[in-house]
Amino acid sequence: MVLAKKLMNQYRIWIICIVAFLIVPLFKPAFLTVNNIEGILTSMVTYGVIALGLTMTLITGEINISIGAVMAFSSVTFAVCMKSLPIVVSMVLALAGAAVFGLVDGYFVAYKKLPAFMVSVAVMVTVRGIALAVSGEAPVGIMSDTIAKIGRLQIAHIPVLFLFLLLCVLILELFLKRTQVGRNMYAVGGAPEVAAAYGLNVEKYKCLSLTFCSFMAGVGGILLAIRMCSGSPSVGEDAMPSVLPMIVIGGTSISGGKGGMIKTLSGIVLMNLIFNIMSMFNIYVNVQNLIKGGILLVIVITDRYLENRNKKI
Amino acid sequence: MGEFILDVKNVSKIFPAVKALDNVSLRVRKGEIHAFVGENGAGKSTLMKILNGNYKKDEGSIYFDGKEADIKNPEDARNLGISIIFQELNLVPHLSIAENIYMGRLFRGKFSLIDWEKVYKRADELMEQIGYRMDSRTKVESLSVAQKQMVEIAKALSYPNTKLILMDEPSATLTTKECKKLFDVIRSLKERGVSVIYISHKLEEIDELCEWVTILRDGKIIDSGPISSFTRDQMIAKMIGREITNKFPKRNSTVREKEVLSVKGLNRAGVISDVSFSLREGEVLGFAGLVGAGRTEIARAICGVDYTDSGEIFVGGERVKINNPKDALKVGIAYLSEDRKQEGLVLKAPIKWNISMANMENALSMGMINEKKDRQISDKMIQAMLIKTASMEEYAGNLSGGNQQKIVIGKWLNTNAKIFIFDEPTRGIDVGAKYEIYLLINRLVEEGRSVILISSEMPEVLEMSDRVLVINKGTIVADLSGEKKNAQTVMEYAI
Repeated sequence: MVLAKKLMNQYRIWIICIVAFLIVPLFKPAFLTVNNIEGILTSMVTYGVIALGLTMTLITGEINISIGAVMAFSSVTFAVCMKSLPIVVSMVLALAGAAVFGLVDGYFVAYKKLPAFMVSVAVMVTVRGIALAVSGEAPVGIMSDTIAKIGRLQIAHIPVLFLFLLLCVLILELFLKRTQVGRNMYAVGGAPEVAAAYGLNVEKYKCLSLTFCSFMAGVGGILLAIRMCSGSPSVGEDAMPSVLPMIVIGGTSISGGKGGMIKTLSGIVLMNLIFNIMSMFNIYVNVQNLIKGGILLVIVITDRYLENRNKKI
Repeated sequence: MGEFILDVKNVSKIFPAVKALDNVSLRVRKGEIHAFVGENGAGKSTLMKILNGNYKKDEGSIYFDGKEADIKNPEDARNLGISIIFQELNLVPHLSIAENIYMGRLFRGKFSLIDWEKVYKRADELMEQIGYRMDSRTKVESLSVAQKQMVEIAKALSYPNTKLILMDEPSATLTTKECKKLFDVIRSLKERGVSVIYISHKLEEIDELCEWVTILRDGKIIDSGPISSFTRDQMIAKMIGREITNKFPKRNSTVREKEVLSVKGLNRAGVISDVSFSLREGEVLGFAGLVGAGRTEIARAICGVDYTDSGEIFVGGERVKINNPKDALKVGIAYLSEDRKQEGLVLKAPIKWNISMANMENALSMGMINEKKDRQISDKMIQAMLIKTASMEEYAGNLSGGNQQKIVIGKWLNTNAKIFIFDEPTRGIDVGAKYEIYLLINRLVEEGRSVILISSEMPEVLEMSDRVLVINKGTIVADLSGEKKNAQTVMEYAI
């Protein structure tokens, strides 16, 4: 009983995912087809990668609103560069741009102690503008067979892009759990004054995490461009409302110091399952959004309840 | 020189307007348990913070282990071998015991990845060394205060060269049993040759634990010597250094017969049980007891901040139902929280807003705030409360603790409250401002209001109150007045 309780506490999101996998096919056999599963896996990739970056930022107790704009910037920059430059160079340019925006964000938030929310809104507006300017305010197509091939590449029916997401999760989880820098991220987010008293450079770690978040948003933008064979300055408008639920459902705390990449992966899987199932049942898009919002609310409430249940009030 | 681990010579520290430390010299032997005693504001914390590198000394020199030491920041202190355990503990709640102990210097194994097995094993060993066998994988947030303190001690010992540990009132929030265990740990530190500087207000503890005592007052060292050379009364006399009379103003009124508040059988499972008492018009009723005895909890239950399981409250003879502080205010009960910065004031708002906040209606005309009325109310209160400020536009957060407390009192005076519950009204307030707060309390009762005074300062609660209730384990164990209202009796019931 104690074990079951512990399992339920730690893995409840995974358990819900499994239950969904078992129940939904009873009503919609199409759910378990190879095509649909491939679709689900592919749909996770872009926002999944971005969610990983934002998870890092939340662990250090900060927030970054600009992820959607950076993603758009990176996708169009990559697409524009692909017209005349090799793939790798285009990627590096797009990612470097994304990282620089994160660094600017991180500098003002960490070293100048400005509120992360406001700074990243400023960065968001600016970067969206840059994305529009770079692309000439219209989607940019990518004429490259290689890109098209990578986008469709599969290993044993599993899209390579999804495997890339898994690889990112594993590396980042290892980083957070097994390296000193990773552990410091938790200390800095959990109790900044204490971390500072023990000689940790709080500013450095916060700046690092914000830069990393923006970098991962850049990676997300490139992955989207690869999948779509085009870059668009208007993508990522709904990044924040889509990505934040994944992270929070997974179990990363918005107030910092708590969370992890595998946890976020569970949130990514669950949220994408929910989207897919809602589409399967032909639920109208506006209603879908309503449900999304409702789910987020329910999860935030239950999390707070579970956290406070054992505390005296 | 080999005999002394710490040698402080003529150290002074000047803050704007106050000399916090004045030519302080003291020496601590190796393996000695050395007590610092003194009133609040005597300079104990300042000296600690200088030793820890939080503050810079203005004059003088510090020798540690025979060498002159220049301590610029907490890291320097740790590298020298000085560890400090502050009252507000320095731990990250979401992380494990082991990780808190080895924060920033976790052991690395293969591929320079963290070797958690080794981290947990070492942490377990450290905890065991100080006699606390517990799984170091446990998250700190689930520990008790006493256990957290042990983690801090283990952390101090995890630095291999720790030679001096400073503890700032470690026993303040511990139970007697936990205290005993803490003392055992401190004695075992002594056996390892580690010196301990122990700051406490509890003189009986110091008698039991320490060998040497240094008494500070107003930033100066008054006396320092072996514990056996002082009696407790001598220590107190040296700490206070002045007659206690005149600390409390005289009151020109008597308690009237009329009962304004009566509480019957108030219960809340596990927190307070069967609390019944009554309060009369013009009375100051003191709540005495140890920290954590349930005094604040009773006040919070009466005012509807916390829920209650059962019990009846009568105000002016009428049964009232209080579910939240707003209900309490409606029947005329104002609660002045012990945490005035969090629960009493909006620090980032001007004084005038803070004053009119609790009763906006006085400042309204036609449903909107009338700036003129608002200013009049504030002006009146600032004068009546003797709040020292250049302007009513000043942010509440910029004022001293005493003046902040006066704003809170003014805020509630602006309502029609008849019963004032003061929870630790003079905590963190200097002596002069305390006296003014006492004057205000006197004025409240002279004007026919009633006061419940919760205080951990024995003289305060004894001298200010007409009657003292002693609270122990969530229930009222004694109702003392007249001759029986003395420190001895209160302590007998409180412990």
